[in-house]
Amino acid sequence: MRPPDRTSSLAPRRSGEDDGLSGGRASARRRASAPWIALCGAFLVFLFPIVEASSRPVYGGKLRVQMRSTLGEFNPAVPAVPGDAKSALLPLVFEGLVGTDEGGTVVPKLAVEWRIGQGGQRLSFRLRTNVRFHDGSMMNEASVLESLRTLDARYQMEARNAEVVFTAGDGSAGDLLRQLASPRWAVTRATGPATAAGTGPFSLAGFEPGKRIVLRAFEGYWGGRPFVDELEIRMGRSERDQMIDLQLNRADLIDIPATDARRVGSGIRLPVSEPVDLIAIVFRNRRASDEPLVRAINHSVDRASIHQIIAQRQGSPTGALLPQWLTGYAFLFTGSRDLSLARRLSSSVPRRTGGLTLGYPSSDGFLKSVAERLTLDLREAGLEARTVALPAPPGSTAPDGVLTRIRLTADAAGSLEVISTLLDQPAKLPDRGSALDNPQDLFEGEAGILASWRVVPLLHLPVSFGLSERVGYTRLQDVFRFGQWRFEDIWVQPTPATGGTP
Amino acid sequence: MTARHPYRAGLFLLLFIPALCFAQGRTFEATIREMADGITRTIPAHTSISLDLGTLEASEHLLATVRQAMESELARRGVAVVRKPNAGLDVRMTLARGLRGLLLIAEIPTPGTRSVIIALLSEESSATGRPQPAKKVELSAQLLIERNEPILDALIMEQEILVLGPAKVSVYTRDGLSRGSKEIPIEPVGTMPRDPRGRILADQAGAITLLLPRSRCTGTTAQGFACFPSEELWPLTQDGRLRARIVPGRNHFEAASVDLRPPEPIRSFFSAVRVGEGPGAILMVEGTEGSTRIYDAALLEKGASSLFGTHLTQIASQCGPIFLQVREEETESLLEVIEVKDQQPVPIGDPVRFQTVTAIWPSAGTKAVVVCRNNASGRFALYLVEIACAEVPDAAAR
Repeated sequence: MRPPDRTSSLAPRRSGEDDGLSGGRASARRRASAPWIALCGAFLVFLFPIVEASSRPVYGGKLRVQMRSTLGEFNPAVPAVPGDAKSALLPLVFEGLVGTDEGGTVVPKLAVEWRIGQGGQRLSFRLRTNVRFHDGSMMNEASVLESLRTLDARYQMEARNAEVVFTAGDGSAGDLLRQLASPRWAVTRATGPATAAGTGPFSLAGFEPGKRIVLRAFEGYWGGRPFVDELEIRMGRSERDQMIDLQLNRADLIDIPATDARRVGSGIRLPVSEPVDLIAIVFRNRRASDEPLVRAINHSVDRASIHQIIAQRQGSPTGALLPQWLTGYAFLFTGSRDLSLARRLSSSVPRRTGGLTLGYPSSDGFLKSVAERLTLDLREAGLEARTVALPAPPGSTAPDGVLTRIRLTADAAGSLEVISTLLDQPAKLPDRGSALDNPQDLFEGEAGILASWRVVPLLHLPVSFGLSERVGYTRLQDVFRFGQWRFEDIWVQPTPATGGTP
Repeated sequence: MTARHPYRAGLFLLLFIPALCFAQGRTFEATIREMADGITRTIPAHTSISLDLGTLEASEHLLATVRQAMESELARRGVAVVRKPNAGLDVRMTLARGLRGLLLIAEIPTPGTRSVIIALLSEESSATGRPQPAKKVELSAQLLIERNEPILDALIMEQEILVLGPAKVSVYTRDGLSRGSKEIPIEPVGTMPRDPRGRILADQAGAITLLLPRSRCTGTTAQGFACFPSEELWPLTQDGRLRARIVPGRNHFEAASVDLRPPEPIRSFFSAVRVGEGPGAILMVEGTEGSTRIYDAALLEKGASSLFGTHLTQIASQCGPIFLQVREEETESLLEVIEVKDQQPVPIGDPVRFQTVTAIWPSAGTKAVVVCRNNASGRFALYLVEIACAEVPDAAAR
């Protein structure tokens, strides 16, 4: 069951005789009642057509990408955080038997079909034919077994009748299907003591930890060779440096914080994703007695002001974990401020010496601004708070709450799982398969996590990219809609032709 | 998980109703019925309700349809829907869109609690962008097929349409849209390019040839197709006098042959048309670099122009040499009929608007098949485009 004070104030348009309004007044209410969603929608609609590219794909050339994140390693066997840069880049090189599409549905990759048998104890895959590793060797049942054998001792693996068969005595083979979509379960072939070849659209041609990744188009890719010949990704580039390089034609694609999108000069193509980043205060270490405190914080936060001023009206303020565009029901969880309620709640909370502490990652300027703004909101509710840059000096006490940015995907149930893991809060989550068809399950799973009062959602923010004029793609939403990096579907235009008659 | 709320009287806890199994494939009516069942189960017996129906995404028309259907279903279950002041309970219903589709959400207040029922509501799929009727009847487009799978080319026959996709040939009857009656898998040689192109051709005996990168497949829809490695030239015109060789693993050509002469290498290009006859004929090719190159009858490069569009296609016509080209706008493709005068394009008549055009191939007579992709839905649509020459203004007057 859900706490009552998260119910919606984001009222949808209402029609019919029961709304108590008539004629023009009713219409005005309909128009004005969902300002956040309207704002968000208008922005996306405004930007998307501008950058829609539709010319014929061109093969060849080098795509020069820059990003703020850094990767210290590029090993699929080392677990990655879903949604981070490594998770986004690994599938360009390494693939598993199955993958997930943007909606979270399991889709064939190196296996063309699978079936679950023997009451969930057996999972069998028929492999795709004519798949080669980047070193030129063929993928077959033996190479799949060799690659995956050591990953999880719970499953027995064997090749049988031209199939790869996983057997789990506890009947959990069906659960394995989801795991196999993770980059960690990529099918690789060892090419050296610390190197492995994948089967993805690009092969790894160079890796300088923290600085640079070079990927080369794999001619023999079963899904069709990528359009570009080479992909160079420079890591750890500041926003300013990225912008300069884009303007000087030294970069083709850069990642720009969505909150800076309005400050970008004209002439830059700027696709913006759906709001896929959840900004939230996470209370991992809260005690049971802290619930009134967290609820007081929830009601004291002025999300609308944070959205308008700090987020530059990007994305939308929220009281939900998953965004409205993804679930359709996020408006049921309010994000409205109720200062009087917050004051009543805070008055019941024992005062703390030195006040509350709100941590933020020192590398994230946006979260720092939000944290500072929150201290003002909390003060109005009678709660003294101060901010702490993280990581904190050794020996210091862990902050009460931490401003956190969580990258969500279009896999709603999977995103809930990520949040649940982050909160260290086992929650009754819907089976991902059922959640696709049953939004009720998804809603209950999300409400369950919120009811733990370990997280206070604040905003959903989009991610944005800056593109040079050379960058082409078929459909914007295929490449950028969910903030993903589908570089295999991007091409670079040759220098535009000039002149008229011969 | 119950949270006490001592400070605000009248606020509700959420009470979850056992999950209702609303699948996307369920009909609109079934969803309404089950939602009405859910409401009936939740409210106390003999309680009248008001229905406050709102929408975040859907049309007013759909809203009205849902209201009517819901009131009707509730009435059948003995639940009276009345005006707000007279209602025992105020039920809020909202139509909102998520990634998976349209949701119908009911919020039902009950003493001390609030129940939420959420269901996916099926709705009619929106049609792919149909071309707007041209102001003049010069170029007409007829939508033949819409589907999710890519369409590379199509063979329009009297009773059937054979559609070539990357991995199969689909047979459609001509008596309705999107009614595939048969699918014949094909296994081309090697991997298909990321942006595959292909041709489907029939000879007079009814044998069918499929041309794909690296492959030639022959057979019939009854017996299936066998594919062999091939670098055969692809016909770019209906009469086969202009042909080109596609680069394996790519979406562009690298050589052209005119009038069955041996192919000559030409820098990579996407499409080509031949203008004129005899020694004065020129070949115009849509280069991958973005310009249209001009070659003489000996296939020597003579210059380039940036004034042409893309997808240059030669169409047989009763009114002289005319061609199709595509002009890309921000969100649409404009299909134009052009003449070529002084090696420059001269549009004649009004263009027809499509979503993104992905392929054009000449078809029988004065027709062409045009494939476009809906940028929103990702679906592909096959159109048969015909040029009605009689309506073209008198050439002498221009």
